[in-house]
Amino acid sequence: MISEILVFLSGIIACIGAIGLFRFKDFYTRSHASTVISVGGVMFSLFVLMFGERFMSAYFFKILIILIIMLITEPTATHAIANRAYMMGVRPRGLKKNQMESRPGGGRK
Amino acid sequence: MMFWPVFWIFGFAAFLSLARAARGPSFADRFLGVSSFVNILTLAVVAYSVSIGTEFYIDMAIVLVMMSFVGTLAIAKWSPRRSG
Repeated sequence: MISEILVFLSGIIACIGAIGLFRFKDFYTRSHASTVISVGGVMFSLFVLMFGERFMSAYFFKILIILIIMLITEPTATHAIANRAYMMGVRPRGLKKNQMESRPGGGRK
Repeated sequence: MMFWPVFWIFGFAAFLSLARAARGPSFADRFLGVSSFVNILTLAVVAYSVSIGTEFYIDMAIVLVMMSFVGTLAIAKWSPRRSG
């Protein structure tokens, strides 16, 4: 009972993150909304589904594997995408022209 | 037994992610939308597998997570340098 309620709540959180991903005006704020989907929606729900089953069953270990993989790979993937966007010339909204001239990402001028 | 309309909510979130992937203005927004879509798809596969009572569909979710990571890194490394 508690497991179903928490999975439903995490679905609502994922829906809020998707609305933010659709409606935000800037690339970096959209990256923040994507992280809301990944952590608040998916990882929370997998945690709930992992402890909703018996303690040492096959469900437990398989969902634990997914949780560990996502915990390592999601920040790496988001950082790679943001670094690539910064090198491609995407700038934050409402920033002046010469305010971010030095490029630590290694992009060319 | 899972509460069944939760899959409609996952579907709505996946639809919004794919809409962002379809109309992203820059080249990186499309990556972001597809990555979020694969995350929600992983969650839906795991929830469906727990819901119908077998654990054999969770392997598909493990493969989805790993292939999403490898594909995102490959696209982020070899994408064109000028935005299009």
